[in-house]
Parts: sequence; structure tokens; C-alpha cells
Amino acid sequence: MQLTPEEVEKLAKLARLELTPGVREQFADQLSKIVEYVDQVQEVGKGLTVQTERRTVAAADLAKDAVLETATEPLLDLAAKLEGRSIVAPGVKA
Amino acid sequence: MDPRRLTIPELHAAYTAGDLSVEAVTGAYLDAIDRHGATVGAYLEVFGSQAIQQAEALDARLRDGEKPSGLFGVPTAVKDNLCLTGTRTTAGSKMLERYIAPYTATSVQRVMDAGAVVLGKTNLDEFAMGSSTENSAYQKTTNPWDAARVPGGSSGGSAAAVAASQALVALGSDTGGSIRQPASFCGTVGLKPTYGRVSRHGLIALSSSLDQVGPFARTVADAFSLYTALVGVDPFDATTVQAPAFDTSVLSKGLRGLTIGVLDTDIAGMDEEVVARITEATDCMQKAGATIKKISLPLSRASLAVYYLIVSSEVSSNLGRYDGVRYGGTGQARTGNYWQTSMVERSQGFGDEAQRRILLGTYTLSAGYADRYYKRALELQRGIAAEFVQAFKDVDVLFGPTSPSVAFRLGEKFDDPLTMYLSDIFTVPANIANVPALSQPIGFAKKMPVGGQFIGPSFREDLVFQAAAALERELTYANLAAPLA
Repeated sequence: MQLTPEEVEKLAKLARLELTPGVREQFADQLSKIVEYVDQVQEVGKGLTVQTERRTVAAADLAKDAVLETATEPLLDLAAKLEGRSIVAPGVKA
Repeated sequence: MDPRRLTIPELHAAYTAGDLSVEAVTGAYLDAIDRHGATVGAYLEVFGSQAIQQAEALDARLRDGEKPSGLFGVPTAVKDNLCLTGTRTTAGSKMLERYIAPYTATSVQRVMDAGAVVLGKTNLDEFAMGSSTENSAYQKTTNPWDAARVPGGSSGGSAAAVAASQALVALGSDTGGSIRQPASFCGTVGLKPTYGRVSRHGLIALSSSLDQVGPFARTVADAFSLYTALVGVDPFDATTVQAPAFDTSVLSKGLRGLTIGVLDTDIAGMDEEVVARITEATDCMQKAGATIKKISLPLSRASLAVYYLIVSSEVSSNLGRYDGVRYGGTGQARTGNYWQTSMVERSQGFGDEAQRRILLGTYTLSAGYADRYYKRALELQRGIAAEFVQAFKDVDVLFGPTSPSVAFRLGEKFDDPLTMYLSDIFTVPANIANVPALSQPIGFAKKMPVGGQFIGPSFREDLVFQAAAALERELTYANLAAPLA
């Protein structure tokens, strides 16, 4: 299975990554080798049928939602800038 | 006597007798980091004054008559993907260069509660992705046995710190071998516990279904002490379970009565000298009373492929949160819109290996490929786990090499990711099958340490420690001192 630089570019857009043409070529070559290797999962254990359904857990068996501890103040202390008790995220405008 | 050569029981005896203070021992370790720190590069940050303050507080407790136990006064290093309140926690990535942890990981808190002195945070491959620690965004770490070779990875800083006597024990994390492979390369003991034994709260996620925190030490008994402090249910990690505990008596039970399954090592690129050390250790265990059986696990040969499919899929999801606006980044990119800013921050913040795995995971989870790759990997994972369960009906523990070779040279595999991945071929099956596994030194090849690996049934770390402690007594490779120590 060969991944072309164009396919890598499409994956990069989905993953929010910006690749230079050189890196795109390099990744296409490296990822093709990796995909070729992992593709062995199609052949290994062929015919193997394994249950993959998740076991269901009754709602009564789940832990009750409860606030154990909050770290609001330390988190606010970490913020570079606050407006009241709201954290000001870095701007994105040019 | 250099206090850095003492094991935990010897250290506690010296504290009790008043021969050493915790401050003096901590100072000796900090001096060693000062002297060899630049050569080994194990630490990203050293907490000199805080460590001395911790030591002084422990000395006060000794003066009040406290008898040292657990990890009391044990100089400890912490892998830098574990949070510690008020300290930088980078996970080896530029993406988290500015992140100061507002809370402490449960595993770190537990070792501190047990009396450990935290010396600092150790280097790692970015987000624990790698087998050589060369993927760190900050520095190279060298192998204390040969500065031209890698320490292994991803917990290479922790392994190197312990091997170089720059910490007595250390915490690492193991998703596919990231404790055991560097332990093997550096001549230390390293354990990956069963998933669910140790809390992941405060561990920066690589692959949430596989990540597990575990110990490094220079003896099996010291690794056991650290392991004991770590385990147990944590309300902050719903995947932790209440599992049977065991005491130190497992360390003295011996090999008589144990049936050990020796795994086949017939793979391309296997170092013949490593095979020879495995054969010698096996013969040694047989002479000491163990029953030996040859074991082949055919399905498990696909573990590495299964591992990279599952891990990359989870990586693409776990690292999706780092956008440079809400999580991580420099906060300096100004492009005019959120998506473009995020793209710039992620491209600058993630290194090559992180980007490769994000891309691979994006591919394997994409429409049309998710069934072919991700779902198939999960099916095989169940099959591999079942194969291990079947094997443990015939044997108590499995034994084989930790890695196909000794530590390779810096740069040797850096540009060939697939070859780098293959160095984990013997460690990933334990993660995929969710069983505990321990690497320990069993000899040397090419003047470098060779690691042997015991694998036990799920939640049977007692059997792994029993076999490892017994083999350690039969061999002469406990508490090794590397040339750079």
C-alpha cells in the first residue's frame, strides 16, 4: 500500500498539520513502509473470529457522579491573563 | 562507601544506625547529577533545593525516632510526562514547554507519601513516542555504559538516571516497552505492571488503553518496593482495579516448582549474543529447579503491527486537543482564524515522530480504512490475549529477550522509523495482552547490558517478581554500576 504525497497532504489537513513539500515526500515514503508492515494484520489469524462487542454494564453498577476535588484556583493561577474569573485564551487574529 | 551504591534496605539500615542522613545521601546524588549531568543528559530539570528541603524534613522524622520503611529517604527520578504540582511538565514536547502542572499525578504522590525524595524530571521521547529518547524536543540522553549509544526509550532519562547512579529508583511509563527496553539497554530492572494496577491520573496520555506507570531500579527488590508504593485503586482513574496484593515473601520463594515457558527468538535481525545470554539464563534456571518448556505464540508475532495501529489511532485522538489556543503551544501564532492558528501551532509544536503517528492514526481511523485497520487490530488484540491465557495454563511465567539487540548507536535508526519500531518487537505483546512483564540484566554482549524479560498472567506480578528475584540471585548482575556512574 503506497501513500502518495497528495494523500499525505490530505491527511495533514485533516490532522491540522502543515507540511513542507520535502517533509510531505519523506512522510509519504516512511508511512508507506509502515502501512505495508501493519497490513500483515489482514493475513495473520485469518479466519479468527473474536468477539469484539463491549460488555454492557448496568447503570446501577456504575460509580455515582461526584465531585471529589476541584483545582479551580491553581488553574486560574496558571493563566497568563484573566478577565474576572475567566481565562483569556491567546488571540488568533492577525 | 559511596552512598549511591546502597540498595533501599542498605540505605534504611544506614539511616537507622545513624551512619547516613537523608540530606547527605540526597546531596551525593545531586553532586553526581552536577558532575555527569551534561554527559548523560538524563534530567530535564533538577529540583536541588526542594530535594534538600524534603531530605531535611525526613531527617527530622528520623531524629523523632521514626524507623525508615517503604521509600523513606529514597532519591527518586520522575519521567517528565508525570505531573507534579508547580513544576514544568513537558512530556518531551515543545507543545508543552510552558505547561506548569496544577496538580500531582497519583503515582508521584504515592511515592512521595511513601517517603521518596524527588530529585527531578527525566528526559523522554516526545509524548513517550520512541525507542531511543532521540525524539525529545529538548536534548539527547546517552547510555551510561557507552556515551555513543542510546539509552533506549521512551523512558530513556529514567533508565539512564538509575544506571548512572543519578537516582536510586525512577518512575517511567510503558505503552509498548518504554520501561523494559531502556531498562534492558541500561542494565537496570524495569517493570510494566498489569493495566489497572497503577493509576494513570496525571500521566500525560499517549495511548489511554495501553499506558501504564511503573518502576526502574538496580535490583529486583528495590523495584518491588517502588511497585508496592504505586499500586492500588484511585478514584481519579476509573480503570484502576482492586487486585490481590502480595508481600516481600515472593522475593525469596525461588525457582523450584516454577514452570517457565521460554519464548522462541527466531526473528530477522536477532543478535546471536543476546540469544546466547537467554540460553545461559534458561540453563541456570533449570539447574536451580525450574521446569523449562519451549513456547511459541504464533498470533503474538503480529503484536507489533497491532500495537502501532492501536497506538497511532489513539494518538491522533489524544493529541487532537493540542491546538495552541486551549491546550499547549506558544500562543504566539496570529493568523487571523482559529483553524490556521491551530495548524501553525501544531506544526511547530509537534516533532516528526508525533506528526508521523498523528498522520498514521488519521489514516487508520478514516472512512473506508477503520474496519481494515483499527477494528482488525482490536480483533487480533483479543486473539493475542487469549493466546497468552492459553499459554499460562501450561506455564507459570514466560521468559525471553527484552530486545533483539543491545543498545544501538545514536542516530543509527533515527531516520528509519520502521526499523526503530522493530526494537520493541518483544515488549509490545505484554501491552497488547495486558499482562505484567519485567526486564532485568542477564549478562553482557558487545560490552553492553543484555535484558531478559519475564511475563506473567494478568495481575500476577507476584510470579514475575518471584522468578526475577530468584534469577537475580543465580546470576551476578544485580546493582550494576555503569562506567559513567
